[in-house]
Amino acid sequence: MKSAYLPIAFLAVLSLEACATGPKPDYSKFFEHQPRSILIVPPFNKTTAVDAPGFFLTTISQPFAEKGYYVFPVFLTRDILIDMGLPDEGVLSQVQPQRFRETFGADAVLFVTIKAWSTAYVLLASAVTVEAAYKLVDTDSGEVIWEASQRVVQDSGGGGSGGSLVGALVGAAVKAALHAVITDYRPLARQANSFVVIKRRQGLPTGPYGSDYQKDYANYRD
Amino acid sequence: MISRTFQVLALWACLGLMGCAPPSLYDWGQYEDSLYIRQKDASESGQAEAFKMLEVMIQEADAKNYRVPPGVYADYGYLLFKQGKPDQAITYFRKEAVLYKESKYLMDSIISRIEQRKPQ
Repeated sequence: MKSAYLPIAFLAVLSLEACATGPKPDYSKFFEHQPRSILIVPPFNKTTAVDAPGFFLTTISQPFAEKGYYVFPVFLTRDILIDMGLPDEGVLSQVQPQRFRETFGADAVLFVTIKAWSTAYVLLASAVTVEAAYKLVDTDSGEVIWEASQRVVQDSGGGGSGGSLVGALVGAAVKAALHAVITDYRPLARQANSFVVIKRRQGLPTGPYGSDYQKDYANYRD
Repeated sequence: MISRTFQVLALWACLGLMGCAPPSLYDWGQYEDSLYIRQKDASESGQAEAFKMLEVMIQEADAKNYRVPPGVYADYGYLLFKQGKPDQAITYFRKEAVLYKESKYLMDSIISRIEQRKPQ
């Protein structure tokens, strides 16, 4: 049974919706500060899924570290924040960014807002959606140095591909998976986190551990 | 038959993805699964399972002379600390600080806190 999930995860990539809003982002603040390390704090949850922030956190370290940044361990960070009396998202956004530097020595802090974490059943098809907004703040100046958002939708193929044999098979498999177990949102969260980082001209420039460090800036400057 | 169709599709989708992704900086082993288990199962057995996964990652990285990803030594140290092994925990917090200088500030502050609490 487990092997059936793997292709579904990959197929989800095919139905990925890039959610690019607004004009091309301005990277001047980013290049002014050039963080080496990123502190990822527990996400702000705008959905009704109470377990979303915890599971989301398990999928975010890897893409940011792979982009060349030092990423502080997320659960250690969460526990330290709880010790400091900052148990959740709501209060975290009120904290002076400089405090994250004083406590953790982090160059930048990443605030994530989870905007969608849901499964919709529409007649014959179902769609799973994960959407998040990301804001990277310099812990010295308090300035926002990068902002992006990403939406990933995985549907059961009830639409355009419905006519083909493959489409029918895939649709049935996804439906079976969705109905058989509690939806695992992690593959979608993982994709959102990866795409938002590597997205051309909107993603994050390479950090100090990446081979393109200070070489890919032209991709983000106009 | 069905699974073969899926495999071909999966491979195709996978190749399409790799085409635009740079090669990995790190071998992540079961890091994400270890976080998932810690999130899902806060009991001692869940923590122990996560600990084991990090241990395997560290052993493999040592054997192949790879750099473990950011946070792995620190997380391993943190789990050791929670198991009541402060001295071993400090060893791994130090390793994190040496491997990633960006963590030194936090690691030093954690180490000094642990040392203050230890009975002399």
